[in-house]
Amino acid sequence: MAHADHGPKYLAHHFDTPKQQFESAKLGMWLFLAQEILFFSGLFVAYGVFRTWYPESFSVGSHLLDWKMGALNTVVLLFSSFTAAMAVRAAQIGEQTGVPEKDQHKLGGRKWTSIFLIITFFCAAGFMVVKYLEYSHKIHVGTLPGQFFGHPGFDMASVAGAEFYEEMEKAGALAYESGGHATVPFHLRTFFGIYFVMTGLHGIHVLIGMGLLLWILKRNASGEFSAEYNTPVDIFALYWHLVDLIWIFLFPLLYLID
Amino acid sequence: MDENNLPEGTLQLPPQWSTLAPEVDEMYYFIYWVSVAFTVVIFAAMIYFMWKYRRRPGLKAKPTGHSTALEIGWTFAPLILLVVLFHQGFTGYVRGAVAPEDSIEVRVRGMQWNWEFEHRGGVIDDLNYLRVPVNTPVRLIMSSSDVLHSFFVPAFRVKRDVVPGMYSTLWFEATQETPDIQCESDADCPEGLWCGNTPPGGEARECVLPIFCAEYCGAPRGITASAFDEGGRNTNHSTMMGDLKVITQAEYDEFIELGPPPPASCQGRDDINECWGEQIHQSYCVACHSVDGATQAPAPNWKGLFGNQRQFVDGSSATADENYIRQSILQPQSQIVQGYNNVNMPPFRFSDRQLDAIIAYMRSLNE
Amino acid sequence: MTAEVAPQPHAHAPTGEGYLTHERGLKSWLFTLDHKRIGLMYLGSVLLAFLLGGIMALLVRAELLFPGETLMEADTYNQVFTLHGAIMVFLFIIPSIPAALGNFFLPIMLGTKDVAFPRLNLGSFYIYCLGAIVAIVAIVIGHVDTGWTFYTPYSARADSSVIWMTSGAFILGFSSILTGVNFIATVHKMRAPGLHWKRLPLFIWGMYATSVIQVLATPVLAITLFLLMMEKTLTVGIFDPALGGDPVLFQHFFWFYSHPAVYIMILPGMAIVNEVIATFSHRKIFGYMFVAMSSISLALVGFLVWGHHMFTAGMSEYATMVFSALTFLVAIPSGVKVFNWVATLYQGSISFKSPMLYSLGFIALFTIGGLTGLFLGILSVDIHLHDTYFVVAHFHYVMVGGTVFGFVSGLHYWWPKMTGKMYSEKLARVAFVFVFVGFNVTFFSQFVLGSQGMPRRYYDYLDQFQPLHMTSSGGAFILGFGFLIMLFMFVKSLVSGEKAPPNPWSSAGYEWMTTTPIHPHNFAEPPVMTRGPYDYHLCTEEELFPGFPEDFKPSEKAAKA
Ligand code: HEA
Ligand code: HEA
Ligand code: HEC
Ligand code: CUA
Ligand SMILES: [Cu+2]
Repeated sequence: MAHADHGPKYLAHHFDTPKQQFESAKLGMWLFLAQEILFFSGLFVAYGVFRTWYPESFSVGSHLLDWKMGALNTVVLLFSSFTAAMAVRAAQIGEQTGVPEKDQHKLGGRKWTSIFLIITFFCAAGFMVVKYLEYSHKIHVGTLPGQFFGHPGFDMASVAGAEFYEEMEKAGALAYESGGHATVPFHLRTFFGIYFVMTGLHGIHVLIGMGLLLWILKRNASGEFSAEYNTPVDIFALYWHLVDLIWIFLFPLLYLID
Repeated sequence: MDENNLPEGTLQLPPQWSTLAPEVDEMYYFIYWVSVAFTVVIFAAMIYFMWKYRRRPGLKAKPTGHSTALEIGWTFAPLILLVVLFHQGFTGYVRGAVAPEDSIEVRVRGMQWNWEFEHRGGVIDDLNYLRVPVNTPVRLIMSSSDVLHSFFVPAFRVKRDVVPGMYSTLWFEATQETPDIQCESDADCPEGLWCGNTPPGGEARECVLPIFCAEYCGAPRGITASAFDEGGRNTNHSTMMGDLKVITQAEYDEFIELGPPPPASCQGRDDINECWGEQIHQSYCVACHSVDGATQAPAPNWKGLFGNQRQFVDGSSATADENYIRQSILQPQSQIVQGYNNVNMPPFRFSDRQLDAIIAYMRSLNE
Repeated sequence: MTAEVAPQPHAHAPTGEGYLTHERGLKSWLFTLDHKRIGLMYLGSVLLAFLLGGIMALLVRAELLFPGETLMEADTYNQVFTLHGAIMVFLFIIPSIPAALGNFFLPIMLGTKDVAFPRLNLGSFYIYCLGAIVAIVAIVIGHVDTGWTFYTPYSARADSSVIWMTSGAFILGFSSILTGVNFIATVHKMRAPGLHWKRLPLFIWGMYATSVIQVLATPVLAITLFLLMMEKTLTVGIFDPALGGDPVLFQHFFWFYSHPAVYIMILPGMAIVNEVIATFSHRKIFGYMFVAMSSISLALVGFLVWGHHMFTAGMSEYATMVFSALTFLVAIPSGVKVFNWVATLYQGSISFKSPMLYSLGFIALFTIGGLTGLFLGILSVDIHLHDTYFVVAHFHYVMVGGTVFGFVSGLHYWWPKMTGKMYSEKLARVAFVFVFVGFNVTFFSQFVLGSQGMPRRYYDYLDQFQPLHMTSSGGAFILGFGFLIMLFMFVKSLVSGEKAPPNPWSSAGYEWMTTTPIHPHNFAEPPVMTRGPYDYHLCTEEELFPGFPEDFKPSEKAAKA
């Protein structure tokens, strides 16, 4: 088989047409996303099981989360999904050579692709910053999973530890026994176990997305994409929408239980 | 008990020792013969075709036709059979799942790697030893204190996982007493029985039904434990075995009233209580309590203990009389002896006769 | 079939070099994007894993020769059978056919140059290697004794090297997922002109169904193992009852993957049997479309039956009932396959070359293994048989008698195409006899052991089980010896095998239509499919026996073989 006249540079040797290549990539990505959904579905099932078993702990637990932070992050991610979509559009329009400046599509072309990708990147980073703030607060006061809940060493029976106590007080998590001892629902630790696993795994996906963004950005900057070939931008955006979508589920399930 | 009357197993299945077993076996043989029929037909057809259409000069393969009728036939015909199989199996299962109203109950605790059985009235039998009355439904209420175990008696065709954090239940009704046969090895026992655990105190063993632990539960690390020697038993998942003895209702009633009987080697002796007490000490207490008055142990020495004045950590004191000893065994945390507050003695449950024996033994240490 | 119809390039002498030699040096292998080379690298790896798992199996059998301690301590034994199971499942059987043989032949049978994502393919291979290394680290540094099922709470409390083992399986899972993604995209988008769905080789149908399960089930295993690792490190309290978790939930998660996974294992084996039966009977598989659809329905129904591993674990009666009923449903598509294979033999022209022997063995052993699966699906019977050697025998009948036989059948079948060398048919048959006899002796005795009540994962056992255990161990050594002969036979073929003709079995399958050694791009000219892969009646003698020495042709001497 002759290599020379195979087709455009971006066409890999084993594909016959750019269309075939594009469709394959897209199908592959959808399959990958199906896989991702099943991956997270395990967590949602675990969440469902434990929420039905320990509704009280879950409701108290959600009060211990800062819904404002969650809402902020929801907005940030939604916006970034929008900019990711705009980046795809910009890449698809591509550079319109020979068209006068004023007739160019608005917000199209390589420059705009980069701009939208950068905005997306900063949204993602902002998301992670907020997450960081939330996490460090929890580590500080001791609302942690399993055996770390309340920091080992705190006397859980009497809820010692001023900050932890305050935190519980605020959320109305304390129950007073006849002897004056204050206790918190036992399964709060399970709630935070699930909280950290779900948001942590989601956070890792955001981080991976940021890595991918940088890579796409670099390729865009080097002029690899055009109106004919912009598959990587497209499938990256698919991934990003999924990450966004998962958060859309996580936010109400964790922060807004009642 | 007439030995010649014992149930016999088949090549495939162990003897039937419960009311459930015949039903399960019927199901088993039903699917077995269905399978044999399918296998024979399939193999016969294969072998016949292999011979008839072996490649040879002059023979050309005929192009494959197709027969939708045939396809539909062998897609749906088995379905009918499968529905029957499912239905039978399920009804059998439901019967096995729901215990009759008049069952007696036994609490079972699985732990790495022993079984503990507690009968009505809090009577705890020797470790790994379960007695049940014949012809009476028995319901086991099981729990585990560590990992998963599974209670399995092949002769009864019952099995159920024992899960930490929840109760699981199982029931059976034994149809035969186990014969009283002493044995040295499994070979001495009739089919389906094994030569049971060595009883506390190294008594002669007897033939009983085996209880297996069917759910993997591990082994201690780095300890060579040859399993079937004295004392080496029950050291891992594969030796987490219990003895199941089916006795008459009268014997069972007596057992419930008096607790486990004294070991055979003590029976008929004048010092039967002291002898029994010593054996209980050997099997349950020796790890912490020594009796020679000298050896350093994590718990108070028993020599000279009885009748002595005891000082407790809360400052109070008492004389070690029968009542005190009894309470110390049943509720060890009620009073903690000075100097011993860093080891916790677990609560034990014994029948009155056993408590008497322990006390008699303690007293004898003072002589 | 007329002359202008492709595929036909074998008519010409091979021009240029084959894929094995057109580039040389270690680098040309490690960085290759060629699915054939990646397939071969997988093949080497899975064979190594098989050897390792097999050695563990022989250790297990040696220990079980006598009751009591014969060779190792209880604790060591627990590690050995765990590693046997885990290696065989995660390192050997799941990647065996899809990643090795599938990778090699899927694109060729589709008439395309490569899989849709060659770089991802190489990536999968390295992910596999990474997973294997992590798993081996677990073996070396630690103490993995949980059984391949990693049941909680035992695994949550066991040695921390369990984290390594589960990470290994986790990583291997992603290798498997990516291979699945790759295959599905390839089948959908890369078929040669003329290769419509109704002409798709049944091997491809099988691979396709397998890939669907890989993509949809494996992530659930991944998240399960991930949660288990979190349980061990962060004690999140999802599975550990001491922290309010549910150990049975772990079992649901685990089997939600691992039951479909048994179809990841068996479907590729069935896929190979289709090809081999067709080739050696010179006939299209009877009921082609039914066989193809049975693969898909196995893949789908397989998702609904996981609960049958948990009949004694404490599910509700209602759940048990549903799972039992659904379990019987999977017998239907399996039966459809068996019946159609047998019907294919009818009026065929059957040659008993070694690949065919293994495929016929597959049908026989899978039938036994599958029917004993039905014993286990019956609620009341499973209560007695669960966690006994009956189950062990059942799954070895389907996994060894089924998948391994299928794999070995494919290995023999495609060996000449892959390596360009023939092997000694005589040695291959000797090996077959040992493997077949050894296998049945090993595992048939285990059915009886199990129904008599011998529990599995037992290091020690009652005296009464000794004769059967001894028989089983004896069989295992015969079996192992059979594999050794096979190994010797293949090595000998590599070293001094005769040069293979392009189509040594006179098959109509697409993969035989290319040259031997295979062109680096699979076909010198992109083929156009004008007939199905089993249309023997449309093939000319020329096409079926290209380059055959005259006396090799069936009309003459081949009948004697
Ligand atoms: C390749 C792997 C493979 C395959 C294909 C199968 C196939 C089947 N398996 Fe098996 N199974 C395992 C691997 C596999 N299994 C493993 C590894 C375990 C144990 C895991 C562990 O605990 O470690 C296991 C355990 C297992 C159990 C749990 C046992 C227990 O632990 O108590 C059950 C219970 O239902 C079961 C059932 C079945 C059934 C019904 C099929 C069916 O798919 C079989 C269908 C095939 C046929 C039925 C034969 C051909 C059909 C005909 C000839 C048609 C006519 C027949 C009739 C209509 C009667 N299997
Ligand atoms: C694919 C899966 C697979 C395969 C192939 C095998 C193969 C074998 N298995 Fe095993 N087995 C499992 C999967 C498998 N097994 C699983 C999942 C378990 C459950 C583990 C658990 O409970 O957690 C198990 C458990 C298990 C047990 C039960 C242990 C117990 O419960 O205590 C036993 C006991 O006899 C056993 C025996 C064997 C034997 C004798 C073989 C023989 O067939 C092996 C023969 C193979 C060889 C001896 C290797 C020879 C190879 C070569 C010489 C090189 C090859 C090279 C070429 C062919 C080119 N296996
Ligand atoms: C785990 C170790 C342990 C085991 C096993 C154990 N004990 Fe103790 N036992 C102790 C300790 C520690 C004390 C002292 C603290 C206390 O009084 O509770 C004690 C105290 C006692 C006392 C009160 C002694 C005193 O000095 O006043 C009696 C009586 C006694 N045990 C009986 C038994 C009997 C009978 C058994 C066996 C059936 C047994 N123990 C098994 C640890 C153990
Ligand atoms: Cu307890 Cu196995
Ligand atoms: Cu299954």
